[in-house]
Amino acid sequence: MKKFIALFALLLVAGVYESKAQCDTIANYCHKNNFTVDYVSDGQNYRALLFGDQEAEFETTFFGGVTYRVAACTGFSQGNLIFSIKDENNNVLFDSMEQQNAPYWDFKVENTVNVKVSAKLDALEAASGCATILIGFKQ
Amino acid sequence: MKSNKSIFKGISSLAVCSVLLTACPGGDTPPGGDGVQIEDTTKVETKDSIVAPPVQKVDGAMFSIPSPIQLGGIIQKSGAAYNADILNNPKSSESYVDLVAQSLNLGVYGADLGYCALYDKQQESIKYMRSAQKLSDVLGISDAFDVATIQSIEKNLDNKDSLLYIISNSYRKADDYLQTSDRKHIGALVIVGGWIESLYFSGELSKTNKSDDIVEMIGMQKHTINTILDKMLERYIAEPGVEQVYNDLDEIRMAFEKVNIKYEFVAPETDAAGKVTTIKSKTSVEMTDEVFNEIVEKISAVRTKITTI
Repeated sequence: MKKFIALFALLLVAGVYESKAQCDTIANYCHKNNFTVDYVSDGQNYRALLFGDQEAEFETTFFGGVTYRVAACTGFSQGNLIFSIKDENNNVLFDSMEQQNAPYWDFKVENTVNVKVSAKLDALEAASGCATILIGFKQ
Repeated sequence: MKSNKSIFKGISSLAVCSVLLTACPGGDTPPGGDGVQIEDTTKVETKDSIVAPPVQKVDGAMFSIPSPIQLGGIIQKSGAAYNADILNNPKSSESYVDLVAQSLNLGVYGADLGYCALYDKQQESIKYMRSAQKLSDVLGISDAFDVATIQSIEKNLDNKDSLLYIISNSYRKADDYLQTSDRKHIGALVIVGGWIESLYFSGELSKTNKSDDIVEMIGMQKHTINTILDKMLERYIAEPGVEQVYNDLDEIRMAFEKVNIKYEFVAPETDAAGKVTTIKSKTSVEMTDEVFNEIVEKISAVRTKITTI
C-alpha cells in the first residue's frame, strides 16, 4: 500500500512538473500552428497553469478597424482549451465551445473596445494543463 | 491504518506544494501573496437563484499591453508622416549600463524598429535592429535576435509584412524566455519601454496632426496603465529599480484618471464558416484638450528619463 501511494505521489508531482515544462515550448507550437505571416503577433504570451475548472482571464484592448486572431492551446493537440471573449459588462461576444472548440478565431473589430479573454480546460480532454493564448492582428 | 493516514496527508501536502511551486508561470509571487491568487466566484445557492457551475478564477496570471507595432500602425493610419527626430538615438544602446535602463530601452528600440519598419525605412530598421540585438545580448536573451533572425530580417527588409512578422515574433520569443526564467521583471520592463515609446510617438506627432484616432488610442490607455501598474509592475516591486518606474508611471495614471470612457453594447455577428466574429460594440473616449496635453507631457517626461543616459 505504502509503495502504491508513494508511486501515486511521484506520478502526481511528475505530472505537474511536466505541465510546467510544456509551458516552456507550447507557445511556439501554438504560434506555428495557428498563425500565418499576415497576422503580426502582439509580442506577448498569455499563460497560466490550470487545474480542473479553473479559469484564467485577462483584459485587452481591441482597436477599431483591426482584425485580430486569438489562438488557444494546451498540450500539443488542438482544441483542448476553451476560450471566450466578453465585453466589459460580461456580455459574451464569442465562446469557442459553441464552435466545436475551435483552436483559433478571428475578430473583425468595428470600433475600439476593451474586452476580457478567458480560458479554461475542456474537462473531457484534460484535468490540468498549461493554458496558452496568443493574439495576432492585421491592420 | 494510522500510518496510511499520515502518508495520505504527506501526499496531499506534496501535491499542494507542487501546485504552488509551478502555478502561474506567466506571473510571479506578488509581495505578501501566496503565489496563486484564486478568486472563488462560485455563486451561493439560494431558493430563487439558478446555481452557476463552480468556476475558480486564476487571478493576475495573465495581462495584456498593446504592442508597439499595433500602436505604430494606428499612428501611421492616422496620416502622420514619418519623423526620425522622435526616435531614440540607436548609438545610445551601449551606454545603458544598469539592468533597468537596458530592459526599458530594449522595449524602446523595439518600438523604434517597428515604427521604421511600418514606414518602410530600411536603413533605419537595420540600425535599430542592431541596437535591440546589442541589448538583448547584454540581457541574456540573444535567442530573440539570433543569427537566423537577423539574416531573416535583412533578407526581408523590402517586405514590410514579413519584417513586422519577424520583429514581433522576436519580441514574443523574448517574452516567452523571460516568463519561464526567474527574470520576469525584465520582461515586464521591456514591455513598459515599448509602450511608453509608442505613446511618446503618438503624443509628439499629435502636436502637428491631432486626429480622433490618436486621441481615442491614447484615451484607451487608461485601461492599460491600470493593468501595467496593478497587475504587472506591482508583482515585481521588490526588484531593484522597479519601484521607481512604478512611481513614474503612477504620475501618468493620475492624468488618465480624468479621462471618461463610455461603452455601448451592440450584438456581435458570427460567421461560423469563415471563422470570424464581427464585434460591433462602441466605446467613446471623452477628455478635454488640457487633459490630453497633460497626459502627453507626462509621457514625454518619463520617456526622456528612460532614454537619457
